[in-house]
Amino acid sequence: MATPIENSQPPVIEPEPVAPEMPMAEIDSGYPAGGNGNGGIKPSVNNLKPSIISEGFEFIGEIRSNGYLTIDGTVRGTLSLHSIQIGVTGVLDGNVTCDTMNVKGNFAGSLDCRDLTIGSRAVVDGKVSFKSITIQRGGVVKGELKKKP
Amino acid sequence: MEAVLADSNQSGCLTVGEGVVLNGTFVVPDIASVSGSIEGDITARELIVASSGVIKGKVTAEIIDLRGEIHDTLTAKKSLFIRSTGKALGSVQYAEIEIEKGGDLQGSLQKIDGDGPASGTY
Repeated sequence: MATPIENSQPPVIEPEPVAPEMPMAEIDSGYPAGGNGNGGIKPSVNNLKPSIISEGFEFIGEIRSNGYLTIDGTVRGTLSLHSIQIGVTGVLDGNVTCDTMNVKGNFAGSLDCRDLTIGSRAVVDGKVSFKSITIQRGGVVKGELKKKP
Repeated sequence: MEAVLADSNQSGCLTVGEGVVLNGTFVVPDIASVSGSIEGDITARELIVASSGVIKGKVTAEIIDLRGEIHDTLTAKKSLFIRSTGKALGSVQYAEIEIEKGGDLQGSLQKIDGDGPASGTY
């Protein structure tokens, strides 16, 4: 009771004041033309870091991103990404929209992508539409395939 | 390369030159090398379709090496190899498959049990 209550309303926790602009400058200018000693590695899509679902990790739900996702665990659900790689131990089950898909593990469901690569130990089962497809010898593909114009 | 293959072992082989159009049912005990156009059913041990080759019909072979087009039904009992210019449309059955980038594969796919590993040389 040491502090007098000036306002009868319950105290409201104010959110932290948001900076008017995120410090994007260092990200945008992170790759100067002169090279910055990173061996010429191109920045990822929108400079997003890749996300990884590790082995033994199971995710059920929806993922949306403009970046890269590596799946070594199990993912079930709806995915909308720029790039997906399913590792040898990875399992992806669901509806997927992406630009580039590289399957080394297991995929089931429906897939809409531009560039599809199926590795030699991969199993792909479902409805697949693509602009370009590569299957390495030994890869297993079942289901409906459709090429987009 | 396919012409050389067929030339060196002509017994049981079929060679369809570019511009040649065939209709009917073909049973080829060994290698069928197609640069022309075939309408109908073809069964061969090994089928090589050159980039100018087009086959429309039911195609069955142990090994299929596709640089041209196959429409309708395609069964590769051992291996199916679709090169970058190859096009397979329709119902496709295979024991083992490989597609180069640029190759076109559309329709329904089914994996069948192959009888042993492919003996084809790539």
